[in-house]
Amino acid sequence: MLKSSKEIFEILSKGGFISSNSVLAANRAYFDLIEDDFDAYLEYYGGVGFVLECGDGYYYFSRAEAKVNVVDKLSRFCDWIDRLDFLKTFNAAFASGFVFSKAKILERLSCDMELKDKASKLYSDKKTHSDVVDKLVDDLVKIGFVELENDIENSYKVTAAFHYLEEMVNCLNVVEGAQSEIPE
Amino acid sequence: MNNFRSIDELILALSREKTLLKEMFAKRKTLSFRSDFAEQLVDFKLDRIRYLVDYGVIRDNGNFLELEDVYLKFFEEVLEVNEEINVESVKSNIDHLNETIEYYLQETDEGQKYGYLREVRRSLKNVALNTKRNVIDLKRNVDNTYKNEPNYKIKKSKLKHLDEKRDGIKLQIREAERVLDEQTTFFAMAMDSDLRIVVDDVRADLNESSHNLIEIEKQIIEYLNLIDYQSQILKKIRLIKYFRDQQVLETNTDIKNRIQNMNPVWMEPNSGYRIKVSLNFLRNADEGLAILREVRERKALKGVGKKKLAEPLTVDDLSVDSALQQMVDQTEMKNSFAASSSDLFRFVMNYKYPYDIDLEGKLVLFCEIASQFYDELDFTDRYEDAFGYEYPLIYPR
Repeated sequence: MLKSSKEIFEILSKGGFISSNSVLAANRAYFDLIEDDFDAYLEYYGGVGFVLECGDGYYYFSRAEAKVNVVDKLSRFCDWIDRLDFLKTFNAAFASGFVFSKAKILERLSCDMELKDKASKLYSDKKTHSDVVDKLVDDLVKIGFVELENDIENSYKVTAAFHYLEEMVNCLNVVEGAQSEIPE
Repeated sequence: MNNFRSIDELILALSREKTLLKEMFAKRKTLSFRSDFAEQLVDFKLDRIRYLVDYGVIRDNGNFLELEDVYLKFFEEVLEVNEEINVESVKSNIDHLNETIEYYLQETDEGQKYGYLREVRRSLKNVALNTKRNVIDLKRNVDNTYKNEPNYKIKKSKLKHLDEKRDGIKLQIREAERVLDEQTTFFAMAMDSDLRIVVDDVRADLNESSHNLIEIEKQIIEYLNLIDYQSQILKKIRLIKYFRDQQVLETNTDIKNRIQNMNPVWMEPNSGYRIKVSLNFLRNADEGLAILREVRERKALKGVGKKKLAEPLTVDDLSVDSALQQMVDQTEMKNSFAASSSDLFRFVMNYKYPYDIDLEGKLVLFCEIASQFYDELDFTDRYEDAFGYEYPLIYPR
């Protein structure tokens, strides 16, 4: 019987990530467990139809066969491109290990026209900036890209799983000639 | 401006104003140290501040005070908190070393010669000490710059400049080693046990420093690569976002192919795994019962609306039907058996029943009475036959 296989499954099967630099000691422990015995976990979860995938400091689940059609996948990915772009515009250093708070984002929002414009397009059903930021941080927490580090200061820390998103974007190949279209 | 005339005077002045100087040194990074704040620290005796300004320890810039550079540098260097890497100091040390060696070789007076020798030892120690300190400062600066500098462009150029400094230090180390190797005449002439120890120490220190420098070089390259990677990612994100906004993401990139080939779980809609409750659990466990009760209560609250009515009763349902079943009272039989003198089998066979009972029924009764009132009957060892059955003789007690 593999250790903590139930807890790990519960996080990963909901589309979450387990990171090496997680704030929660439990998550870090899960990461170490998987790291020590990756093949065993891979085989174990393979038995219930999940493929345990390993990235640079994080683990997540994928499947051998598609359960969702390409259009849906594309739209979900595009949502994350918007969010990633927003976060990088907020702070270019937004990456694994970065610490931020909702208040900091709101502060930048109030004085940055570009950011304001991007925020309004993030969630169509959210009108105020604080609603948008709440929802955004909520989404980030749910998937495991950021974690609440300090509940007094309300600061969040970006986990290693954020690499995943960057890698996803980075691995896209741009058709030749298309690059020149972008205005400076 | 006045000058301190002796070490005593200087140290006395510094120690008298140590609160103020400590505070000013602690705040050297912030731009402003207000005069009125300084006045509090000297108990509002402005003379004391004036004295320090006159003797060039601090500088007065209108409303603000600053530590003079000489003292600032002195404190930083002695306390080893300087952030500036001073390659020149090593260079001047080496120059000084070369000069002293030259004087030593040309000097004929033994007393003077000894003085130069001592100077050489001091210079050598200085070279080693300054080089080591430079290496440590460099390492700290590199880490600090990478971790704390928020601006990517500045961070990158700072790291590049630090890399140049590293080259400078490396050059100085090589220079110092060359002096040790090439001044063979001097070292052959002047070598005594003291100098030998110093030279060995210096060589070891220089060696250690150059090893550390290699490590730092690797670190700087790694940091620069990380920065490049980050800025490259940033550019890529901007580009992809631009394509997305222009609705040309699918035509300009291979996103469809990429996505087709991967099926991460997070791209799936949130699926709740619906698992039925275990019936065994509901039936047998206390928690199950509690859950059932809770569910019933919730349902009861909801079901205030229309209630279902049963069909009305028919006349047939209301008519009384009675069925008669005849029974034999075994206790009464036992009582009358107790009063008789025959054995149980015979008694059961000859008993006057209120209705007809066949042989089998009587045998059943016999067995029932025998087993039910076992304690009140006397079972003998003798057996008799009747109707093709063998039975024991049982008498009342």
